[in-house]
Amino acid sequence: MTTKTIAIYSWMSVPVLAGTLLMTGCGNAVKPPTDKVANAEMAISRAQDGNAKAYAPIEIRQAEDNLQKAKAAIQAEENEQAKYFAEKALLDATLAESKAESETARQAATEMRESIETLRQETNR
Amino acid sequence: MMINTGIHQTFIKTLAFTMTVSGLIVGCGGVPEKDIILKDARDAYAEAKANPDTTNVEAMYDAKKALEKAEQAQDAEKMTHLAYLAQRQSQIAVAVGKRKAAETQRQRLVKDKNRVLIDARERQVAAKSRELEMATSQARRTRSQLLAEQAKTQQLQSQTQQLQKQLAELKGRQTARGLVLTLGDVLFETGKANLLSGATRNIGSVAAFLRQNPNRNVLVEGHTDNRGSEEYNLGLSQRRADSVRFALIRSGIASNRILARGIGENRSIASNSTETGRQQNRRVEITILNEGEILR
Repeated sequence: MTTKTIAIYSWMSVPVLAGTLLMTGCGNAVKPPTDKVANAEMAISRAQDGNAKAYAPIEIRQAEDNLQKAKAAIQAEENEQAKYFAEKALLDATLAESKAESETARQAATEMRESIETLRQETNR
Repeated sequence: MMINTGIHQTFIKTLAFTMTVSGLIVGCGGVPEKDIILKDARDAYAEAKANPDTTNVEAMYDAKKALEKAEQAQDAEKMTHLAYLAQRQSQIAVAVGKRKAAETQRQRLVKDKNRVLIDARERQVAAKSRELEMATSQARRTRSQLLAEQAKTQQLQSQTQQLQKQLAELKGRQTARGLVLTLGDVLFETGKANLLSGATRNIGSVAAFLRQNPNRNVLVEGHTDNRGSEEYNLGLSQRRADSVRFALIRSGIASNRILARGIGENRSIASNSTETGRQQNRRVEITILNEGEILR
């Protein structure tokens, strides 16, 4: 074993250490979460089609805010943060859509009950 | 190359140590404020689980997994994020459960509505058929009434025809005042006013006709030939006319409908110089007056 070879190996461990830190560490090596942002956008537009603005106004606002924050984070190259915001926006929008669907279904049931009541009154005359 | 291999192993050891240290720095172990961070997510899950609408809702499984993932997070920031997602999943499960419950209820109501519609239709049909039944039985009643009336009318017609036939047999003749029938001398005992049995049939026919025609009155007039005193003849003709009147009253004709009058010998219809002529003059004439004609 020559000292020269040992020196080469010692120096080699420096970039390896740095790489390991980068892989495990805090954020900036993550790719921009463009897929998650796209999913959140689609979920928001679906929720809006389902009249979520009327039936779940707070949740749809939260979804839009979180989407904006995700996009801003991507601009700032804060990709880990962007991922969090995009995930939040997706579930905010999904909740808004689900609430709108549940309200629509509830109204349909109520209308049906009312139409039966009307029918009963008409036929009992 | 023996030496080289030794150095290589040393490098690998160094690398493993380095990675372990890095993991410790980033990983942090337990999160001290875990209960505070997870409180909302845990509450939301408990609430969703307690809601009967979420039974058999698939989204509940997602909610459970999301909460478990949050519980296992290694640092506060990641835990806070996963707790948010878990809370949302539980809320989504509740919304989905409510939607499904509402849809189930609506389907039940659709069945109810159909039931109501069918009931109403059945009631309508029943009412219509009752109406029809009533109309049918009404029509049947009307028809039988009509038939009864027809039968009655026919009976009356045939009675009238029969009576007219009988009256015709009495050789009635129509005059301005009414129908004049002549009962001949042979129907009385000589010089007496009693009706012989042969007259009964003729009187019966007249009585029947009068019963059928309650608005027609009758004038009974007795006549004789010129034998005997005029006073006697007047008396005999009056008695014979009265006889006929009483016979009609006995047959059920009201007395005020019949006027009996003795005319005597003065209104002869044939010559009194022959026996045949005298026989023709000895008679009682019954005039059935026209409808509504007053007796005088």
